[in-house]
Amino acid sequence: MKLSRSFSFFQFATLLFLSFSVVSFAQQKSFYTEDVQVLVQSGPIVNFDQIDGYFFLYRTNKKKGLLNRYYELQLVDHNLEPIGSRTLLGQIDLTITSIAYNGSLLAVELIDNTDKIYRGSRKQFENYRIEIYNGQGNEIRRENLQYITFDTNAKYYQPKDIQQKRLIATPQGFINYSTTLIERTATKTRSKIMFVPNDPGQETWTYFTESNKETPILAAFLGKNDHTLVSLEYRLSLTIPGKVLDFGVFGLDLKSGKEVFYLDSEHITQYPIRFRKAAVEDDRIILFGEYFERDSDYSYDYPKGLARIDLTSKGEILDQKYVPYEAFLKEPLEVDASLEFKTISLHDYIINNDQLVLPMEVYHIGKTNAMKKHRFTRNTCMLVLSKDLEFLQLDKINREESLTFIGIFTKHLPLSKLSTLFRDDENDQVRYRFSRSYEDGLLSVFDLLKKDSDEKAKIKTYVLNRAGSMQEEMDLDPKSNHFTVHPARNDYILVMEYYGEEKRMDTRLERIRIE
Amino acid sequence: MLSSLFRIVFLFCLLYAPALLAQPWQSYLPSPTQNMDTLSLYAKLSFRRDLSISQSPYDYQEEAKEVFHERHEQLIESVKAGKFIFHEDLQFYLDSLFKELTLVNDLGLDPLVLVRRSYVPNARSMGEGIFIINIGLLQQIRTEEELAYIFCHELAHDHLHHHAQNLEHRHALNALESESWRTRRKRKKHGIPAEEEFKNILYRMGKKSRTSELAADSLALIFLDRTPYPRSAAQQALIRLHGFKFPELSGLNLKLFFQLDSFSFQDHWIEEEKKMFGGSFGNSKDADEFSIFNPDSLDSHPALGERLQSIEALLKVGNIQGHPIKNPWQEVADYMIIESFLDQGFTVHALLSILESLEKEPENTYLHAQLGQSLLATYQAIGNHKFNLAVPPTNYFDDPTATQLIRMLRKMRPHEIVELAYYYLQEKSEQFPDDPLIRTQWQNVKDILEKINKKN
Repeated sequence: MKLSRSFSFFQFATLLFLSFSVVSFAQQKSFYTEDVQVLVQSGPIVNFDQIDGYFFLYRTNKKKGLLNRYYELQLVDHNLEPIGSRTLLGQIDLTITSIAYNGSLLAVELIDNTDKIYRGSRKQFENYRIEIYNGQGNEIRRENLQYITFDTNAKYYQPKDIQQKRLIATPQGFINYSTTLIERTATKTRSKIMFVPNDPGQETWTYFTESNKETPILAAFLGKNDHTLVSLEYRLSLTIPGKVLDFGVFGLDLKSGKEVFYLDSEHITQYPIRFRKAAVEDDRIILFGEYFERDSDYSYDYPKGLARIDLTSKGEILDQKYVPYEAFLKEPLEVDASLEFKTISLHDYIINNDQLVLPMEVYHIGKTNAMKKHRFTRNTCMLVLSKDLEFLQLDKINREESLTFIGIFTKHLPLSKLSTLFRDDENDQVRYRFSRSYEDGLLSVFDLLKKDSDEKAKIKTYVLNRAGSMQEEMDLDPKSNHFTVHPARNDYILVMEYYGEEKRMDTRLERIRIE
Repeated sequence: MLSSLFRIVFLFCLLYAPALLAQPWQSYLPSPTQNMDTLSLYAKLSFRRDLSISQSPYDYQEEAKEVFHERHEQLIESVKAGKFIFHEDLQFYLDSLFKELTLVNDLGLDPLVLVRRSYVPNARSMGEGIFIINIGLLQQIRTEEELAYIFCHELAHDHLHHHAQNLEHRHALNALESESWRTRRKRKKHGIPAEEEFKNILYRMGKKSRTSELAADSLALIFLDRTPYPRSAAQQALIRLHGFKFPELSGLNLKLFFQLDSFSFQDHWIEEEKKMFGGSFGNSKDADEFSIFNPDSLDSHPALGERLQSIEALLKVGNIQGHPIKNPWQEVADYMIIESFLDQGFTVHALLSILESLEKEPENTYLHAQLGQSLLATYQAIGNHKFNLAVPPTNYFDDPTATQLIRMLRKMRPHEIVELAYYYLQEKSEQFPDDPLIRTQWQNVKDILEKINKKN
């Protein structure tokens, strides 16, 4: 089995895999016919935080030529029992970008890649739409959207480290985050938050972030409860690609879409904070994020530590707490004494019972004997803190990786560059996939790709509960060519392995040892 | 004189007491899955493979090589994987029955009988005297005369060279596959698309398979007539196979069965969870077509209903009365199936088999001990990443109790599964205080439960 050790190459391989994975049913259904059914996409269907099922998007090429394609959306429940299917007609090159179920309706955000309305020299945006289906599989509502993918001013609109949950289910409807132009010819770009209610007769509300002529101001989901939606507001730098400035937080009333509060982190909090997660309670909003030095070019520089800000439901600051990263790492992480802490790259923020769990990569730097050489090390860890940011435990997931770079400026490599260099390295790779809270614990999943391609790929699981933490490795079938893993309910994960020779996909729920 | 006689009687009792007290489990020991003389078996199989190839029609020589080599490899792999049972007494019984039927009918055949560890009641003729008997057949068939009829049916398949039909079909499919795009186009032009031809071949295969089953039935009756077994055995055997269903737990209430004094059964374990859209979305009638899991194939032989009708017509003549002899291996086959399921890691299959048997024999201590073992094996499967094999998906069986059992094992927390095994065995060890197997099993579970509790 040849599996890539490079992230980007792995993405490419996954794409290839998805494109060519002719599933077994195709064989059963259409042996010796010219129709070929291809699984192009699969993923979990989430009802806010609960996995309610999975979708499989199949493309059928009826005859030669693009126009004779059609797509079929098949749904299975959380136990992989078939629920039903729906044919999506008139689609040529379809991708599902987000999918959610709210207990009564299914919302699918999708894009037909051949249907780009405008590809200018300065901006590139695509026509997305949300289709809402009822239980009979009938489309009851459609909302057209724009989503800007590229801008010459700001390079990429969505920095990778700001998580975008684009479609959020609420019992009354769905919330969507998209980006839009104010007018077709203008350069002003902003975010649009839209609420699409279950009842087609009921009115939808939209909220636009403020526009700025030079830089786009965008929004991302942070958290919600039954009444309030909390979002992050950020601005992209015009000069440095991927640089993010001005982190604000705002709350919207879920019923009306009106702004309840706005908090300018740049000017009000003690340090600028890049917020990552909000726990929205009835009388309090707890915000977690990373903070930066105030008087430095903070977005380019490394984050200094973790921050927790407590707000009232009206957005007034109750409390703020800042803990530098070094405070968590000095004792438990055994690294070479000659190395000094460089930075941390966080994969996720998970609030689990009364704990905050952070899957992350820790970077250290040290000088080597040779001139102008710097040695970097990387440790993949799980940091467990109390909600008050008090240290509880730190668990290493993989053995330390080490790289040496030549050059005067290597010491000042930005985080994104640093992670790319490690990603492209030939070391064994451990890659974070997802985390899920279960009844009384947390389950995190990594995949482990070995340097030697003959070795089996593995799925690594990390379980945290009252009894402590536990790590396990699960071998995948060496005969399978590709695999993917999705979250599932409780102590299960969904594993899909593809066998190229047999053109067969093995899809199963694996139970993870939690005790 | 009287005292010495008393001493002799006492000694006799002392010597035979363990045998008298013996429970059924003591008379049953797991059968070996590796043949003692494996090399000799492989040599016999190779010889028969070469014979099959040499005796195949000249036109199908290529296909014969392909088919028989493939089949040979599969057989060897299965033997190595422990899929066959090599039980000396059982082997002797089956060999004798086959030899008797062969000699009486003057078939000039040296049967090579292999017993497969499968619960499906099926038998198969592989050609050149190789017969595979599933252990499930021995469990399902109640009398020797029914067994004799099934073996006659398989001997008839061998005699009529039905296994060679596969060659013909393979030849037809190969020919179709090797034809060029040009020919396919040409066919299209003449209105015969390639897929139509493929369907025709499949249809011909199905039709021929049904015809050969009916032919084998007719000849089997002729073979059976030459034996002391009555013709009525044919009908009984087919009725038995036709009515086969696994599992059959219609009357079982899981909650009542597992409601123990020290262990409270939780209703939500067996309750059906809320499904997306209530379990139906859009074209839900197509759901079966994209079912990810396929349950075990329970097809023993095709067209059983048709065969039964045909047999009824044939039964009007000949000896139909007889004195049935009980199939001596039926009970042991029950145990062998449970052992096989547990060996292969199919713990839900084992549990269902045990629950089925316990309905008939609620006092059988071997079954109680194995129930505890199956639950423990289900827990251990989680750590070995074999849970998916041990507990199949919820839609795997049609039986509603089996579905409930799967749902229950999937929802129960790992330690709850071990606790259930522990309290179940505890209750049974109180009910059968002298049973060593239950006691040993209970001790095993107790050790594991203590380890879990210590960790938590």
